[in-house]
Amino acid sequence: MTTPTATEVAQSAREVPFEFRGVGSEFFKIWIVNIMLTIITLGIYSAWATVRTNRYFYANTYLDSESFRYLADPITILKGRLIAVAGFIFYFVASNLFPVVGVLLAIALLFALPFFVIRSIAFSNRMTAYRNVQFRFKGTYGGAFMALLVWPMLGVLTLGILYPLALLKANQFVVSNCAYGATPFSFEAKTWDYGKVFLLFVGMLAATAAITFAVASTVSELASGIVAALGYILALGYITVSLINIYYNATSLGPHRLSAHLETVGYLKIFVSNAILTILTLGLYLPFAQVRMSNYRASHTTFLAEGSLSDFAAAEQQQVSALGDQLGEVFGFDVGAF
Amino acid sequence: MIRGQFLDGETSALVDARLEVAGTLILLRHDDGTLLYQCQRNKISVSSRLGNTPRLISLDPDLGRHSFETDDNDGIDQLFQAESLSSSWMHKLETNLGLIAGASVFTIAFSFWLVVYGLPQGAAALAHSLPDTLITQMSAHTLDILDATHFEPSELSLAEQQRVHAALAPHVLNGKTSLHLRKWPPNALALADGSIVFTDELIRLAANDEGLIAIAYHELGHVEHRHLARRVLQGSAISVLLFLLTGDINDLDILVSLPTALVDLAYSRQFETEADQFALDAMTKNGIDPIHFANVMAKLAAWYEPDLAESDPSKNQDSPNLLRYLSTHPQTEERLAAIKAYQQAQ
Repeated sequence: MTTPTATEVAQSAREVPFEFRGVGSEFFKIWIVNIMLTIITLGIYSAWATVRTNRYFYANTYLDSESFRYLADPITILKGRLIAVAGFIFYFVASNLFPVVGVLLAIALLFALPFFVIRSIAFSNRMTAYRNVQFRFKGTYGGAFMALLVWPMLGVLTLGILYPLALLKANQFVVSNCAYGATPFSFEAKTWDYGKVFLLFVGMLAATAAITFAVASTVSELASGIVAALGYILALGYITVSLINIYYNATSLGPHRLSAHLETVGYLKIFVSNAILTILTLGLYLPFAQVRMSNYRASHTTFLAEGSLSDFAAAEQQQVSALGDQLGEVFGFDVGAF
Repeated sequence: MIRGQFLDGETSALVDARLEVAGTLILLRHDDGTLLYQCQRNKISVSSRLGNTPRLISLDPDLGRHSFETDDNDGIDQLFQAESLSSSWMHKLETNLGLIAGASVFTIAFSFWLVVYGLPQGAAALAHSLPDTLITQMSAHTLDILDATHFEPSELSLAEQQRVHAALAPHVLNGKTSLHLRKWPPNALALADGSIVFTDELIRLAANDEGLIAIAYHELGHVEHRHLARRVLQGSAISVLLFLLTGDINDLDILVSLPTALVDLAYSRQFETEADQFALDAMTKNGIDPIHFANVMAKLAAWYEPDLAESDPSKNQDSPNLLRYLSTHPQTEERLAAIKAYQQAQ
């Protein structure tokens, strides 16, 4: 037998689509009870609320007839949150009373950022399981420092020219340090993948500006305002969708690959209608909006399986606290592996 | 007997299995009946029911990281009433339609109350109970920063500066406040440490000292009512609240930041109205006609928006009415109307 060609290998891969089976009305009930109990318990229940929400979204995300699990214990989350809020109050009081201390704390926070981020991602990963095998994250402080501070700084210093590369480095740091059990993920993307997306994005903004100016001087300012808003939303939708697609398309797990095919217009239809309905309903539509968006994203993401999904091995046990995760949230760090 | 899958925790393999309870034992059997796994019933933990999601039974941890998963939620509820009793109340709440309807109404009502009354009143109480030294510390260096970034030294003659000081001092300087003159577009501002700043252009714009006194009282109102501290407290409270309520699903960030900004601007407009009221009361107490406040306000509006002032201010031409919600101050015509109403009430 001859070894299979690349095309033959690609064709032999099984397309296993992700599927989100959550229902808006079902999640609404969970969501509203979460809020009510959080209010009544002055925030203590918020840890249980977060766990129930994550469990709902993970357990309704299916791949090959099996769904994901969120394993975090609410008590752990609560402890982390209390410490984090105490830290926030301390920072707030200190920086308002003693601006110098505030500045020093801000600098210290900057250097602590990579630490919080890797703890946060490690915790999130470990609390995620598929077929009773947990995910892992082995990113180091040094790697996080480069990916989160140094590369973005270079992107800024070069007036954005190196920004696509900085983004690639950040994505690569996260994905290539993730693992499913004992099997590491790998990330393969080219700088030009990001570069052409950014070029097109800038082009769309420039075109919007030009058309806005033209409309303003010929039709009216109000019309030009509408044109500007539409163009801006379109550009933002395009870059969001493109970056998500690049991220998943570059990710592989052993012989298997991920693939995403979100579309700008389809995504924007959902995003904009979600926003309008949420505002009109004073926020009550939010759970429906979240379910709709999760549904869209899952139905446009696929796992290209090379064989069975049953032979992944788990990794050894270790303890990771929720502190990094919660501190990350309170101070606004927004990095996740999924 | 419950059908589901057994997962060994070592690999990602699934094994179809059936779960039975036999006395104090949990038994898992293959489809053909052979025994797959067994453990003590008191060693397992059953996940709480959540919507329609699969139920997870974590089996004896001493034997490994085995688990059993099933879609048969009702079966699990029947079989493991004791184990899942404590956590089943959450599911009962989440499926009780009467409670859901009540919770929806309660949430909207409570949120409304919190944002409109609860937070402002709580923040005011807290701000007024804080010691003076804490409050003044909050903006100890703001004037220095403004001097370094925006302000230039006043270009009024020394005689003019002294005249302004003499006119305003008896009204505004009460031991905790200090008056500063700077060069900048017509404006006046109050800092938490009691510094009140007037700009040269404002002094030129005001036709008489009574107008300046009116503005001075308005700024003093900000200081006396501790508006800066209250705005900071209220803004932070909103942020913490939203963090607690939205948890980690951050797909729709703008839906969190937009309401926060709008609420902050609304609070700001409330503070301006409160400061206006303080000024009117103080002017009346000191025998100064409130009309001077209205006059200088109209002059300022004309200076900043000459096109709007030329036409009828009660009609809005190009800019839609919605823009008022993006403003830190109430619309000028509203403030002028409030002054008129105050005059008529006297």
